[in-house]
Amino acid sequence: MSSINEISKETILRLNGEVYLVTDFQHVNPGKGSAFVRTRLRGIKTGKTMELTFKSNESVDVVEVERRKMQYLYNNDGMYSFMDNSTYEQLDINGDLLAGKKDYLKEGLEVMVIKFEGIPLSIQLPNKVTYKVAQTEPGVKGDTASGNVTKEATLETGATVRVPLFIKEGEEIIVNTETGLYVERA
Amino acid sequence: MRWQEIKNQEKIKNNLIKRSDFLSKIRGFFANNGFIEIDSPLLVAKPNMESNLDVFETTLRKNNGETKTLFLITSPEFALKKILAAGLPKIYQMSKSFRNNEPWNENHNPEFTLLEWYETNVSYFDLMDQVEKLVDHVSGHQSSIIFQGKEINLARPWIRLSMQEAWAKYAGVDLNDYLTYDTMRALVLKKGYTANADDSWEDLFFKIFLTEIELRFADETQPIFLYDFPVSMAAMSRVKKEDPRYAERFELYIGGLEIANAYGELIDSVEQAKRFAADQIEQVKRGLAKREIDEDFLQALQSGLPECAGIALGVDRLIMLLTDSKDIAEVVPFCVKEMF
Repeated sequence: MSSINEISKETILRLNGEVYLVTDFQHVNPGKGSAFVRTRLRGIKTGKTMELTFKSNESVDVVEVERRKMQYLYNNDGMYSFMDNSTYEQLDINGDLLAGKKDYLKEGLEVMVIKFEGIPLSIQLPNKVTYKVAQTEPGVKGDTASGNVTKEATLETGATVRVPLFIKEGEEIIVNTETGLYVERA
Repeated sequence: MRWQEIKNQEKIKNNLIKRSDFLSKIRGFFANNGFIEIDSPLLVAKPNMESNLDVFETTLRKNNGETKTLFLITSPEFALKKILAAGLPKIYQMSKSFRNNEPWNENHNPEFTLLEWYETNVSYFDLMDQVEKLVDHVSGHQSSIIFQGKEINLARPWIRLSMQEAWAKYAGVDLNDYLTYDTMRALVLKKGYTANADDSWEDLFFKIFLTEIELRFADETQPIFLYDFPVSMAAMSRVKKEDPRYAERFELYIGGLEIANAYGELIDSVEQAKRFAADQIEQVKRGLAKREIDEDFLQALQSGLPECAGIALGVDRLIMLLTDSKDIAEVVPFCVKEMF
């Protein structure tokens, strides 16, 4: 048993005989009363999402999951394919489970696939990944008068990110996949 | 470096200029309406009693070597009620207040600007009209604002929803049927939440409220006054004469943000003393130091505080709304996240 205060995204909980993935959580302190943790859960077997609030000192049944390093290959028709380089085992994951992450998948990227009882639940991306800038406007030097110090850039994966004006098309940059923010030039 | 951020980012610099204008407009509103500004101390000997609010402590050193533990206010409520008892009927304070051990997220800073005002011989419903007028004045008579992509219609009157109505509308039940521990516990379990042995009635209430009700307020296109709280959450408000299961308290939500908290004030010193004693038990239960009761405050109540209503409004959050800022760090000069 762990305290609900210790959970993070991707934690798996067993609740009322069902198993749920924590897809989001927020600490809330109402004006009068204890501290709470508001969570968004997804039933592993049912796929149904629901919201549930716990008191922050509650114990919950955290379930161990299987984490396996796999390499992203390609996607086809909404299904994303990964391969385990040591066993050559291939796994397809429905893109619906990869919301917010699939835009950061580039061919060959190594990710952590999270499985529970053989069912793929989610993936964890490396925090910082290098991408090529596929498209961006040339930044005009001295454009800071208008208050703009960043411009939009499209990465090789199709994801967009705000970058400093000096970044050019074709350059490689490092992006924080958790926040979606530009970190630095590669 | 924060000052470099302010220097390089037009948005934050502009927000600070707008902030100055808003503070000035707030003072103008109260001056025009005959309120006296009271700048009561931020440093006090007897702190606020609410056990869910943690206080900052410091040490007073006197010239003769004596030391005394003092506290920073979580709100100027005690001092302002004493001033009401002293005979000034329309007063306000706009100053910093301090709350320890809070989440450092987009809506909280341990040091924040709280506007609190009181008027004698008005009801808490009258305060709802006053807030609407204040925001109208401060916003420059805007009929609507855009906040985080959503349009909020500021035309008066705003939504007035009782806690019972809110539960019926969003949680699908009549709150009056769940005012006892056993009934609320059964409801919580039926809805699929957890219910532990150490959960109080309020804890069970909030599990449902925070999940099914409060989040839905952000969907509304108008500000919402949520009024008549269950009596166990009365804090320093008076019990409703017409229905003692509820208290004369309301909270104002705009854009999903809790902006203000208001009471038809409790002026019965005997009842207040009882509540303070209960607060002390809660403080100890939560592992906090037991706080001394402000006897001077109880005396002011006993001497005869006139019927009055009061309200506390988070100025930083109001400015967040009026500048479409997602984070409190965008509307204050220096923020704890960057300082500590």
